[in-house]
Amino acid sequence: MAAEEKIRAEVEKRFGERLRFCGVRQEGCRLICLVVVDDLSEREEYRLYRLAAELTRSVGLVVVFAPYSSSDFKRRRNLPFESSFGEVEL
Amino acid sequence: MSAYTEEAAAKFHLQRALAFYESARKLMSQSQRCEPAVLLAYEAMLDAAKALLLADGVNADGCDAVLLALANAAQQAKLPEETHSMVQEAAQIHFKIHRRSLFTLRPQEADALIRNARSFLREVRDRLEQKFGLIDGL
Repeated sequence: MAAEEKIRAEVEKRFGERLRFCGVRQEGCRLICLVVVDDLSEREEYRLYRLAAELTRSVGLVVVFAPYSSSDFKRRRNLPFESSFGEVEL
Repeated sequence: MSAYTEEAAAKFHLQRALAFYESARKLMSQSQRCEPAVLLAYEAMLDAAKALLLADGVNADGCDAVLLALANAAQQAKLPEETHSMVQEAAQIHFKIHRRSLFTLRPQEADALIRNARSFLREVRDRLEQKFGLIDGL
């Protein structure tokens, strides 16, 4: 399975129907994953950091998460970083 | 790189890491300035990681190369996964700071990173001492 697909599968497994968006973009040897989830808690955000470490070990690229709660994302969207993931429909 | 040069370079990076860590700790305790303290603590962890890798004959330059080399060492069971995870979490916090218009750094995240930096530096110092003997000034 390609690295991007593996990351998406892990994120979908973790958040199920609460997942609003998961985009993966490669910058050099780094994979940046924009993840938008309904009511994302601090604990869940921390667990994503742990997942990033696990994925880095398994895919051989540095995985970094940009996690958002969907309400927070709606307030901050349309910034250059997010637009690099294309149109984000929540 | 000869074994002697690796030893000298590893010790140099560890000493630099300790200096960065000390500055981070002072900043946090004296002024509660989270962001600069986190940046210094992250630099400390990267330098300590370079020292750890050099002690194993691996020369990694740049933060992503260091993270990948640590991940690789953990995959080969040369290093606990927890050790790699600690540095990778610091990289996540560092990423947040560089996207500061998008994320808010929480004070408890800064505290946790500085605590992790301390644990990681201790681990690296112990490993280097096991390999090279007592390190002067540390």
